[in-house]
Amino acid sequence: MASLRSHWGMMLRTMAVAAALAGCTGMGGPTGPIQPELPTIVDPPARPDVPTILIAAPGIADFQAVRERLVSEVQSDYNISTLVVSSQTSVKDLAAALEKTAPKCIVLMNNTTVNLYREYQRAQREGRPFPAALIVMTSFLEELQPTLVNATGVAYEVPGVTAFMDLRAIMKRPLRRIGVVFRPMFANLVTRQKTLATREHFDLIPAAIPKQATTADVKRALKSLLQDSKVDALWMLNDNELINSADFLQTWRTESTEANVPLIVGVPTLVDARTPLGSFAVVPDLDGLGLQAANLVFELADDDWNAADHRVQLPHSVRTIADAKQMRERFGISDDLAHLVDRVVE
Amino acid sequence: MRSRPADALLTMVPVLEHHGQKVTLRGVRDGRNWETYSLVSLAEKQGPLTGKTIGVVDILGREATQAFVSSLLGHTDVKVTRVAKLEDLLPLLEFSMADAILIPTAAYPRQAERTRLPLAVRELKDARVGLPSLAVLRASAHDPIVRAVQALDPASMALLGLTAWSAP
Repeated sequence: MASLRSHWGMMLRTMAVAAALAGCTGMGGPTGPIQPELPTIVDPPARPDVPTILIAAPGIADFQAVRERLVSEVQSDYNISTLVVSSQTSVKDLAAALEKTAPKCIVLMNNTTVNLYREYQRAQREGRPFPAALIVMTSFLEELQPTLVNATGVAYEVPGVTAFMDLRAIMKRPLRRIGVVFRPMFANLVTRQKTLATREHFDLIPAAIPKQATTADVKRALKSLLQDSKVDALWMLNDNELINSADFLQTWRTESTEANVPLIVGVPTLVDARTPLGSFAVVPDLDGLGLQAANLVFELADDDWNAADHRVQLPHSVRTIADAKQMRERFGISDDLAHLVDRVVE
Repeated sequence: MRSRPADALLTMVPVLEHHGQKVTLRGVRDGRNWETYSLVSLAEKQGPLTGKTIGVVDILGREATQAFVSSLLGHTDVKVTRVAKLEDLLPLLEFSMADAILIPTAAYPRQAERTRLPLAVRELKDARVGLPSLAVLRASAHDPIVRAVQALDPASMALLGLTAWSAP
C-alpha cells in the first residue's frame, strides 16, 4: 500500500537502501535486492571552456539514482564525466580519468572508490593541489574525511534522531528512551547520535558488545537495555557483521517481541509483514541525497573549490517504511499513518 | 514535458508561471486561491536575514527558486538551500544546515508537531503564493480534463490541499 506522505503530486517509489556500499567497512544493507546493472551511462555532451565534474561511482541502481539527480542539477553549469567503478577498476584507471578531465570537483561514491582515490592522492608528490572531493554513499565519512586532501561530503548513515522523530510522530505510545547495541567501531557514531538525540528530548542508551560478538553478547546487551534500562524502543544500526547473521536477527526478533517494543531499522527488507522483525525503517532518500550533493557542489564552487573547511553534512532526506500490522496491534499508531510514512507494509 | 508533452499541468502557480503557462482552473482553499508562507527558525536564532541560509522545497530549480525566495522575503542577500520535499526542511534546522526554513503557513503545524526544538515562526502576510492550479495545454483536451479535475473526490482534493476550484 502506498502512502500519501509528502507534498501532493509526488510519485512515491519504493527504494532499497544501499546494500551495495561495495567494499564498505561495516555498514550497509544485509539483504537488499540484487540490483541489475544499468544500461551504459551517457554523460551530457561536453562544451568547450566549461569546468568539469568527474563522478566516480558504481554502475548499480542506487548510485546512479543519486548521480541522475546530481547531474540534472549541475549539468547546466558543468560538464559531467562519469567513471563507472567496479572491482576491476584500478588506481591507474582513476588517475587516467582525472588526467583526462582535469575536474574542478570529483564526486566519489562508496568506500571502494574512496579507497582508490586515497591511494591516488598518496601516490602524488607532496604539496600537489587536488580538486575538491565530494563524497557520498560512503560509510564512516566523518572518520574518512581527515584521511583525504581537500575532501568533504554527505554522510550516508541516517541520523538516529530523524528515525526517532518519525517514529514518535506515528506511535501513540511515548517514545523517549531508545536502546542501541554497538560494536567498538561504531562508538564515535553512537556518541554523535546521542548528542543529536538529546536536542529532541530523546535519551539514546548504548549497550556495547565486543568486536567479535556472539549471539549471547547481543542477547545480553538487548536484555540489559530492555529489562534494566527499560527502553521504549530499540534501534538496530546498519552493522553488516550483526545484521547479516540469521542468528543475530532471530535474537533481535525474540527479544523485541518478548519485551513488546518497536524495533527501528535502517534496511527496508527488514520490515516485512510476513516475517515480522523491524517495525519501522528509515532509509536515505536517493533523490534528496542527489540534490543535497548538488547544493554542496555549488557551495564548493562559491568557495573556490576549497572542500577542507566544509564539515561533513548529515543527510536530511529520508524515506520511511512501517509495518502497519505489527505497529497497530502492538504499539498503537496514528490513524493518519498513510500521511506520515512513505510506505506502509501490511 | 519535452519527451512526452502533457495535455495539462496541475501544480503550484509559481511553477505554471515559471513555465509560461496560463491558469485554466484556480485551486481554492477556504475561499482563497492563495496562501501565505512562514519563516521558521530556532527561537534562539532569530535576527536579521542578511547573509542567512534559508531552506526551501525546490519547486523551480536553482536560480528560479532563489528568486522565488528573495521575492517572498523581500530580501536578495540570502543563500538558499533547496530540499526535495517538505519533510526534509526540519532536519536543516535540526542539523544547523540553515538559519531558517520557508514553508507554506498551512504546513507549519504538522512540522511543529514533529519536533521538540523551540521554534519561532513568522508569517509573511504579504507573501501570497497561488494554490495548486490547473493549466490545460492542449485545447482539444480542455473540456474532459476540466470536468475530470472538477469532479475530483474529497480525498484527492484534501491531498491537493484544496476545497474548491474557481475560474482564473
